[in-house]
Amino acid sequence: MIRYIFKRLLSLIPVLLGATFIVFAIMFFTPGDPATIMLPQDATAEDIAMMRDFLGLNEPFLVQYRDFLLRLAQGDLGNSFRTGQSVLGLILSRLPATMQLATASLVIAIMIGLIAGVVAAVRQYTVWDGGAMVTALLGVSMPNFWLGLMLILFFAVFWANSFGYTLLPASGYGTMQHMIMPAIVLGTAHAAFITRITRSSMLEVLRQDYIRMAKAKGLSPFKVVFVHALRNALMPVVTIIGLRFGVLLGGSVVTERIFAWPGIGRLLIDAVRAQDYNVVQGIILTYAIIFSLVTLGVDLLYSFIDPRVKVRYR
Amino acid sequence: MKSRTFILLAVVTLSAAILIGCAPSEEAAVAESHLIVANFAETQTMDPRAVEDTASHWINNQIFDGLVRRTDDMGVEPALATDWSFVDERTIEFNLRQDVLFHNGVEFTAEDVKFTYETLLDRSLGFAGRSRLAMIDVENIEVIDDYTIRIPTNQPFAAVLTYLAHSSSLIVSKAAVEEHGADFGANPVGTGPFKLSRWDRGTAVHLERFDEHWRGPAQVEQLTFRGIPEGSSRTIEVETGGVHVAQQIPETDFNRLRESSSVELYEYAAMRLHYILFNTQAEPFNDVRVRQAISYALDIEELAEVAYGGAGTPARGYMNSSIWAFNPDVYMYPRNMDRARELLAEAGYSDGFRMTMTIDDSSPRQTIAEIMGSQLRELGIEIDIEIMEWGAYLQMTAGGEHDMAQLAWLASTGDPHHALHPNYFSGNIGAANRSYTELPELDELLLAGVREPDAARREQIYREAQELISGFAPIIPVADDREAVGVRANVTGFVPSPSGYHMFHEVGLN
Repeated sequence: MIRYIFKRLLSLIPVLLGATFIVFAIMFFTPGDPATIMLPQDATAEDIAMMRDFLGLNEPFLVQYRDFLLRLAQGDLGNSFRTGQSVLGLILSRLPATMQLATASLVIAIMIGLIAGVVAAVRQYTVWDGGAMVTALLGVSMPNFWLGLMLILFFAVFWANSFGYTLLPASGYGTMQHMIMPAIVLGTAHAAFITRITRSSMLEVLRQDYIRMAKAKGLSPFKVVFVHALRNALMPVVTIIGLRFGVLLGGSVVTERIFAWPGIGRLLIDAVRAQDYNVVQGIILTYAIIFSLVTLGVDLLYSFIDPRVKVRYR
Repeated sequence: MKSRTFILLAVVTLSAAILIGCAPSEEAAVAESHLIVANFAETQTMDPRAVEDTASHWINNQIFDGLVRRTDDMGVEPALATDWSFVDERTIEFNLRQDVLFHNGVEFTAEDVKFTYETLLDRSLGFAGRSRLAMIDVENIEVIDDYTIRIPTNQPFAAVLTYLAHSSSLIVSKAAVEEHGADFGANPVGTGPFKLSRWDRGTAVHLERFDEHWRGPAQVEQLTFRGIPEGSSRTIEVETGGVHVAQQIPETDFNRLRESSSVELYEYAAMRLHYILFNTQAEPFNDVRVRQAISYALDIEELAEVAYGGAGTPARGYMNSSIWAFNPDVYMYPRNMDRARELLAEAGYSDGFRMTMTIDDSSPRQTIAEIMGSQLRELGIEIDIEIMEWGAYLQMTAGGEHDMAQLAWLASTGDPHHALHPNYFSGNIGAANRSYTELPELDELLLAGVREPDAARREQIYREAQELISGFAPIIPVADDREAVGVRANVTGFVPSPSGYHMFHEVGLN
């Protein structure tokens, strides 16, 4: 198992190299110029040339990429063009907020998704099933910004107008209350996916002979569903949850913007707009690492859910 | 059994979360002397030399002072300098205030001023604010004694005081810069009424009152700037009491706040002009008659109203109308389709032509391009709209590869030189002069304007310059910017500044 993990971690290196090279190339060959964006509109061509020189942008593509790799090998992601701050510091200052929100919304998504999915499968073609599926469809289709604003209007504006205080703060970061609305907004869409996957996976398992056997033995419906069926139905669900967690860790620009959440998604978009190469590179690198680790975690989780999988890890 | 425990745990956790959430929010119960402000973006750095964005400048204005500062009507008054005099037409001598302390307890002297400008203008340090003070002859700044300094300019520069009052010219502590080096932006030390207490990156900058400030302590003990990029979220925060002051209220929320009893909406004319520009050196716009024809054919009122609504008033001249020396009598293109047709025919384009309007992804600019398309169709002019990403757009318009484009100009010093010279002086082609205007008589006037020490004479020169520009029609002015700040009713002493950098020294809470 440890050898397997080691091998997987080793295979991360070419993935990261590939990702950074592609991003570096895209940023480099995109029209526009970081120096032009940084400087005021009345900056002269001379000012811009000087700033380009200062930022090291006049070097050829491969030289710049080599320098980036050399710095990276020393654990240095460089500094932001715009602010001069260390990229690593910038990312580390945003990562906790992103992690918290991702975890909270995933917990919400899993709780809603698993329960709704199981109920829909067990009560197939009943009102419960229809209700869960319609809600899931709504959850997937509802735009984040709309749901976000609706929640703010209710919990903050309506409440403040009716009772003189806000039930939840409209935006910001720092306390548990701040997290509830953005977590619900992000969690809703992901809950919908999990509901659908859980339902179809459960339906498949519930038709298996061993379930009929369990029922025939006279086990309680609860035990049949949650102990015998759910565990076997979990494989595809865990895969989806893992992927969703990866997506959530990427941050959500819209949700972060509405709730003024200091996540990594907003940092990335701002950096892309400012063509702040170093920050974009750093964040993409972080994404690649996180995503690979989450996938590895999911793979390892399989062996706990289904002991047969362990054989593969030798 | 295990599953049952899990579900039970989950339900308990969720309930706990919801219950905790039911408590009144922290912001709703803020301390009385803690003022919370919603900024429209998060701060990038608190080193005033390194920023070019207004969100950061706003905060820096509370932490630092300049030699001089703007009055609320955009005049200039003493700040760290008590008075000044011109030694010769290029050199200004400042007497500095004594017994002023930096936040680190070190006394402010002329050396700090010299150090600030020398580092700001040092090309090898790459500060973004450099170009704003590029007129200073940095080699020859002379410290006479601790409280007297002479600052020369490369050429006579009548607007020097307004430029020194700009946020790029705020004075940093030499000792603190030497101590913190590249991290000064996260450890700012100035002489301003507030000092940094904590910076939660991406969320908020927390300032606290600097009791030794030379103008006396500020009204509130704590001042927090929260970065809230979404306009409607800022409105909601000020409505619900999450913040006391919210900058840049979106135009769609103006009416709601005007009717609110708990929030007052301060609307003010900002010094920005939105305009459409021609590339006056590319066909067919190198013919002044074509430019004039299009100017006659457009309904500016409609463009301004549809694109900017309450956030803009139809422009009536070639610089923002709130800047002194604005000449309201020169705009000579009321909508007149017959005249437009005549001019086009004279220029040899009676059947019209096809052209490209290049814009960035700003939504008012897209709206304007679309309306223009329909207004110019009557003349047979077909417009292709090309939308570009901001960086590429800036590069393209600087390189003169456009037919027509749209930009805005903020003359943040409030000086007519700043409003006209960058945009219409031929030496600035490829910089802010993206209409590629090249008019020797205009160049002469613009140079004369900045050299002329007498204000009345200067005004006359700039009024003439605007007349010349109008005849040349390099741009079509669309709208003067209007901005609005939402302020809770319990806030006292708030005065909006046209620069957008509203000051909080005198602002208190009831």
